[in-house]
Amino acid sequence: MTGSHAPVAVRLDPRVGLDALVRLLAADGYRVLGPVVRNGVVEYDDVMSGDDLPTGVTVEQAPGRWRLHHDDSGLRFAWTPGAESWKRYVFPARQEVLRIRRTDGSFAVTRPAPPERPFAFLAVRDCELRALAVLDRVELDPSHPDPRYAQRRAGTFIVAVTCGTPAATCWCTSMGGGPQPGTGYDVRITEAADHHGHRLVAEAGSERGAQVLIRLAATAVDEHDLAAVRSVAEAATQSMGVRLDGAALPTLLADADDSPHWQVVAERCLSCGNCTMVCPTCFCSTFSDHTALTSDGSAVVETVREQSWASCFQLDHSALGGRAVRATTADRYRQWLTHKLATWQEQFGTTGCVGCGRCTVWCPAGIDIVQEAAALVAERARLNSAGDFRT
Amino acid sequence: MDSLADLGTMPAVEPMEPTPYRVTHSRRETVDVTTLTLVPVAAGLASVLPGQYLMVWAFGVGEIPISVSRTLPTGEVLLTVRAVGATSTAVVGTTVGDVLGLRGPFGTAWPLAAAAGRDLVVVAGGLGLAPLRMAIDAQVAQDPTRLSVVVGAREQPQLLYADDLQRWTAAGARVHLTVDAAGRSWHGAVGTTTAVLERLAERHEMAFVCGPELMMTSGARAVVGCGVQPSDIWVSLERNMHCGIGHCGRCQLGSQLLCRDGAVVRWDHVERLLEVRGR
Amino acid sequence: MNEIRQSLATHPFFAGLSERRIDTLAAFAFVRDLPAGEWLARTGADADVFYALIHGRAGIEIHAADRHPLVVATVHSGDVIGWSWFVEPHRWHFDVVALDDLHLLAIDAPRLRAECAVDHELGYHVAGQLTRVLASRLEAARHQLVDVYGLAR
Repeated sequence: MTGSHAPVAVRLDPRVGLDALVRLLAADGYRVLGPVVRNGVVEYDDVMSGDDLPTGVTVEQAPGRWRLHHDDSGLRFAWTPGAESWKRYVFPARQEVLRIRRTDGSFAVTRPAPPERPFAFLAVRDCELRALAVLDRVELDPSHPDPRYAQRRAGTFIVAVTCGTPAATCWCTSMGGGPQPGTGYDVRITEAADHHGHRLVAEAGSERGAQVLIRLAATAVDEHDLAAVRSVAEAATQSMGVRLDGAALPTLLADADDSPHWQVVAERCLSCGNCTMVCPTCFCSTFSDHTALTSDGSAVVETVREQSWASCFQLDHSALGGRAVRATTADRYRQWLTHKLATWQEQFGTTGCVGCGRCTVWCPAGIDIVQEAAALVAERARLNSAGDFRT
Repeated sequence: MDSLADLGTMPAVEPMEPTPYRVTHSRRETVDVTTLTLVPVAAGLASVLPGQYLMVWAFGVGEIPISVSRTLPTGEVLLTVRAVGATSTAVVGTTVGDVLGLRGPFGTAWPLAAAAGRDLVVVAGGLGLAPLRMAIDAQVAQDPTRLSVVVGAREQPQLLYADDLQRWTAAGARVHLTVDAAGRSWHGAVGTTTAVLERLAERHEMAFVCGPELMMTSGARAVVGCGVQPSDIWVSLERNMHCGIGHCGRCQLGSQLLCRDGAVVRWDHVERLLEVRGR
Repeated sequence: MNEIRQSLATHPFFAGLSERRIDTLAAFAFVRDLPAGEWLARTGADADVFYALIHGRAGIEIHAADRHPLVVATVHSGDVIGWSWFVEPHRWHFDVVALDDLHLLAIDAPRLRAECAVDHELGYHVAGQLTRVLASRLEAARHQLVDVYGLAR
């Protein structure tokens, strides 16, 4: 923040102002990544100008359904994120970890070069921001930080955005979040379109964020702009309501291991792992060595160690003595849901779920994690109130 | 985000990087179990606590977790390995002079400090004696008269570390051997480790248990039956550990990341989880 | 007689029985010493004796012409040998051999059975203790069946 000075906040033109911000961050040496519409979905990719970002795009979301719509509103942030999250950049789906080369009687190791430029992430929702914080807790654990993650994550410039139009599958308000990022950003943008006009209100959340806004040389905000920031957030929050008591889930699900409900879900679950692939916090991975065959039959001299995303829905994800431990879909669904909503808390001191709703949207069977968690909680409550003949 | 600004300059320790160790000795323990002695080619790893494990990598084959069965003051580590899959077979098949890559040490250790001055029973089944050997050595050096060791194996030729068993007995520890079947020349018991525990005359205050999961669950319950508090019983659990540092998520058992929170865990923390099928 | 009473009273199998019942049992119990290698029971023979081991180790053996004799369980000080005497048709199911020199109590099984039939409190005690023995042997047999130290199947 700017110390004793008033917080820096400016009003940006939705087209020209956004474009200036993108170009300034690029000129400052960031690799600027933002939302782009491609193949009918919103992806996060390199952006060169403000015009690369969507305009007049809205998204319809439901269990097993994600549809893009275009309109002539000119709104820049009325879309909601697609399958991809920022995890893709800080924790790529497949990455080289090491190269190990045979030497005379031993071996030598080389590491991949760190990224040349820090990332600037553009249009980061509150759920996305909290997902990054959750991943940070896992990957930057002080006793064993992942150096590759640390290098990619270092110096990330965050332009957050207030979520004015949450989707029907969004449930961040149940998981400790809300439509408006409250902390952890350099700049926060709120899009307002009311009788005072269509504009972006950009507020600094850090010193370097303030410096960027100052250099944009934009108009300072007035009280109508700040009132609009509040009313956009309030309206969005009210539209969502609270679907579950997320903070209580670790306790509520603690004795659900032997619930018959896992089998009920398993009747629908395809064990495809889509939920884990789209989840912005899922961190399970596999380390594997890739050794090329030599064409002349000589000894292999180099092997590449790679890390790639794995899923708890894979049969051999948990194994003991060469045998799959979680042999049924019910076992694997239980691992997914209880890890995400319950056991993560004890492991890393945070919830594993930020309520983004991706797992529900991108499930080909339309399994809604909120509904399933609610069903388990209700079942537990029923059993606990009914008592037990053994007690 | 300010706390992340320094990360680019943090010491870039790569936990996935193996350190070369050379095989200096290979000893066939049983038909499919071998103990390798390895010495660092250059700088070695940090010192190993009893019960901790290393990730052992064979070039071009793969990497597996192996508990350390002994360390020597001169920097060598001893690994007792059973040839089961491709990597363990490659590791067992190494000969003197071959180089393997080691990472670690990882995981929790047997709580020897808490065992000091208490009557300890150590229960080992099959290859489970390997992760316990350093702990038994330490306890024998401290106070052998307050130590009982129960060792089970399928048959007498599968018993590990005959020299150590004799040495521990000679030092004053009560060593009980049991096998699943034997000829008449066998001088120990025939039956489960559980049956031995049920017969033990001596009282205990604490237990370390390591072996096949079925043996550990039944053994831990038998130890509880002998009056040991569940919170004073420690077992060593295994799942497919890939990274060793709680990053790959594959070795989860409930809220435990066994590679990081284990392998040595308190019985009362895992008993209920082990009862759940497919957990 | 004194040693018999003493041995009965201190053997875990009979722990908890009244002095009167110990006296009753002592009337048809004998202290025996058997050298290592002696048979205590042969498969198929009449199970007319019930052993309570005081000292030494006996082996329960399985034998057939097409395999080596195999000790499948050992019985130790404080254990008992035999449940066949309690269950019809009162014939031994396995061979039992002294692995060490044994010091043991040999109890007249038909007399003990008759006593149990009359004195149900004694009968309940004996049946309960024998069930413990069987439960332990059953668990061991199941663990041996799954080859607990072997590779996962």
